Amino acid sequence: MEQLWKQIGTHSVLFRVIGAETMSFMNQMFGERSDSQLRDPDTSFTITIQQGCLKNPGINTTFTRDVQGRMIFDRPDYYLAISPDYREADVRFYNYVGLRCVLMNWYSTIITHYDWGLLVHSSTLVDQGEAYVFAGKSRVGKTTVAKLSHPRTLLSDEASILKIGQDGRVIVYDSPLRSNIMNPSPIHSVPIKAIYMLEQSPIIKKRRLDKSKALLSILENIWYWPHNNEDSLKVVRLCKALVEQVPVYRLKFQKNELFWEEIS
Amino acid sequence: MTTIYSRLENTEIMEIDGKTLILNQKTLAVTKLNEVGGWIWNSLEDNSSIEQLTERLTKEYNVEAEKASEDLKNFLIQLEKVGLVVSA
Repeated sequence: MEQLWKQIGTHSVLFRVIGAETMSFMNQMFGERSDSQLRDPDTSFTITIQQGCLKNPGINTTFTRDVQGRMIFDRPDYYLAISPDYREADVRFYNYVGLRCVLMNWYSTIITHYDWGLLVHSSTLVDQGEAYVFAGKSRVGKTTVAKLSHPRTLLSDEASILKIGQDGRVIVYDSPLRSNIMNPSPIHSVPIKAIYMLEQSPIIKKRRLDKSKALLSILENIWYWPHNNEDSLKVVRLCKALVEQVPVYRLKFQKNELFWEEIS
Repeated sequence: MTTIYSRLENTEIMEIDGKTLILNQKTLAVTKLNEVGGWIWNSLEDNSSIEQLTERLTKEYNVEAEKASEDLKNFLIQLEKVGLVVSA
């Protein structure tokens, strides 16, 4: 077993990695990112992780609690058990997709429980020191937007990490939970500028959503696996805090980089 | 016999930009109401009949009683369908 400290958002995670294959997948996800120097007990977590869920990929997740009170998330291509105090987790996964999804499940559970922030189904680009979040369901164009935005820095291509501070400030963090574009970002965190709900179109046009529509749109694009009502309520409250602070637009865009002229 | 309408207890209410958003804590579904819908929701706090609601609505919004009563019935049917209101 090897031990690795990794930073996700403002959280330090000690990964106890079992097996060379697992380490190879971890390197694929985290690359050469520096280990965390900040190991504040209040923001530290331990995950024991191994490849060992030898089932076919699938997407249906079930939730149960075991006799120790641990939260168990079970999917054909991953298994996740989180201790009742949220501090420790056991993970098994089938392949890279399983690893990415199980860590998304774990991280979204942690950050909503602690009222820290949200994991948003989106890609995020940095332009002039501010983060632009492009949200939408699969195949709506998030990866296309990311590829068309070169040489801007990419913070995420699938699951953006948004910290929603008590002071109302929203910060987007570099996300290791990537789908296609694996190059780690040289930038750790950036304040948010706006959120765009993507819609492919022959024209390029943005329209600001009122806050109630924005909240409903954001809710549809949160990575979150329900496990108790108290934490589900936190998700909705965090979404409300987000749309109170950050403008949300519907963005009709063509598959070219001209949309940047419309939004920046 | 008069039908009395009452609100589901396990809800979280959020006011945002003049709209009322109701989160059903059992199903986690969110329902958005416009200004009048939000006013009716608040009026249901003390478990009301269509007749009581109609009387209050006509005073508040200066609408005809017959039209208000019909709209209220349709609105409450929809709220009942999504589980936010129960009738007895």
